Amino acid sequence: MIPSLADRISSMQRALHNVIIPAIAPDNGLAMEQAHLMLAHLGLIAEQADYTELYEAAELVALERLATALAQAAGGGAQTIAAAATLRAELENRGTADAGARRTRTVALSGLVERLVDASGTDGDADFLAVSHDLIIADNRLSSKRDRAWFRSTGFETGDVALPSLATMFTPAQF
Amino acid sequence: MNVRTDDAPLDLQPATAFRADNRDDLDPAVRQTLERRAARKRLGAYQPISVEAVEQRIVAFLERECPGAKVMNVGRLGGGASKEQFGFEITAGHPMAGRYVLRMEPRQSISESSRRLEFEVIAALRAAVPAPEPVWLDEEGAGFGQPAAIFRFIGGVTKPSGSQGGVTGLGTVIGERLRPIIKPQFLEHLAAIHGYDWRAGPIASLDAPDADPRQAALRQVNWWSRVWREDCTQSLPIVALAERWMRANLPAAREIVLVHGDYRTGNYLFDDETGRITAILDWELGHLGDYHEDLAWTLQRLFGTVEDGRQLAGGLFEREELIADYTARTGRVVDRAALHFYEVFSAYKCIVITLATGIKAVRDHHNHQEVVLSWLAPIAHIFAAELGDLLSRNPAP
Repeated sequence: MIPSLADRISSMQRALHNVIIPAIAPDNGLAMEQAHLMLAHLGLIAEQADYTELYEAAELVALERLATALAQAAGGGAQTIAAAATLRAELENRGTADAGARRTRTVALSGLVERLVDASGTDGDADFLAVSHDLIIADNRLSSKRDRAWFRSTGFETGDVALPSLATMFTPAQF
Repeated sequence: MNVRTDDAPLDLQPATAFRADNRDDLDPAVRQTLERRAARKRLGAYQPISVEAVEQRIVAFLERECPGAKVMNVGRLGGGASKEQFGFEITAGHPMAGRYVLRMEPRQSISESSRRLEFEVIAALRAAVPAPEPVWLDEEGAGFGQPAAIFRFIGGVTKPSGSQGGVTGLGTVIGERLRPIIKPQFLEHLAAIHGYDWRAGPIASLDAPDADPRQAALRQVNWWSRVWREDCTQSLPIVALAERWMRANLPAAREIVLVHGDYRTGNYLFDDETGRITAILDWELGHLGDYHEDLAWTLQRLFGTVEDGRQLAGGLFEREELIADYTARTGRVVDRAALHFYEVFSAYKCIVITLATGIKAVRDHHNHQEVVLSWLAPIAHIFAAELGDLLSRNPAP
């Protein structure tokens, strides 16, 4: 048995709230602001902890879907064709499914998608420019909503967009 | 005032050699700043400087620059995600007696900039716009260990007492009482900045992007796309799409003006009682460019509020109201396609600042406000949604 993540986070929140923040000189604005932000961060981490693996898996699934569609649709000159080939090779290069490998793959794939889009600005054909535009816009509509929901508790949202709760977003039906 | 009253395009001939994919075309001051930034980033993790150490450096600096000055009440100021800021006083009896603000660069600022340019721009604009008086400059950090500048302190608040409003002024609710007082001043000062006659002025660090009508836009895209490439820890497809779109849609500037670069609620001080704006702040991103850039920046949704179902730019203006009032005050035509371009650019720039530089500074321990930067980073996803919306529609006619 180990102390749960929730209990450890809670103990840090209480230490900050009950002991550390009261000990900060009231005129030390920087320390006070940072201590309060630590409290807020800890609250957010506690809220996200149970869903982090699901979030990272969902992020990668969406990225693979977009990357596959872009690689298949790519057309144009030598730079676009080469970038698409590199992206296709990475898509086929599926490694282990552990969390670290998943993060590494997400970073690698997103970088290669960027390189393909970048190359297409130089010599992509008109069809690919149009298709890739639509594909990325459609992906962004879903991914930005997912990412905004993930961080909804930061309070930056103005409330003009309906965002699901984490529990709703990561129900089995979503996968 | 350098005000145009017609809608003719800028009297510049398109350059035959102009290429939208020329990523090397940068404002010389920006290039210098980015090169200096790259050198500083190699120095390793940054330790926030203690108040005691800052006091020693202020005293030593003033012994050279302001003999006889006695320093007291040195303290760290809150806010300032891009600069470390300290307040201090020179005691009564000295000709330079008064309160001051020291602005120092951390190893990596969320938006890297030139202290000299900031210093020169404020010095030149103070006659037209309320701004802190720049007093001393330590451009290379010889005195403070980091590039620094010292300004006279100006009183005021960035949000009404008791108002909502988060980090760096985001979501500030100005409120019914102050809104009609602040609105005309906000516009008046923006008009004065854009009306500044930079051709006759003394700002040596400014370089006019006038080789081609599209150069103003290209230089901005080149600046922030270079920062993106240097700092991003994970690419975003929408960011790549935005850059491709911007390079294909660079607008021709109608007029080259002094652009503030971060003109929004949260970046001015005002008197809480009277509503008088006492200072326009954060001039560090100032440059010569297209006036649509400041308008588009002000219109970013996240820099405004939603009140009674209305989106208010800066908590002050409805969108069409801002555009109409700006035109009425300045005589400048607001070209919807150019405004649309700069709205795309503004969302893009915000993502670069928060998600690329912000996270890189956190990861490399290069900033005194890492916990603020990591807290701010998620707003990039709101800008990403905005970017997608903008790129999926044509500008309003």
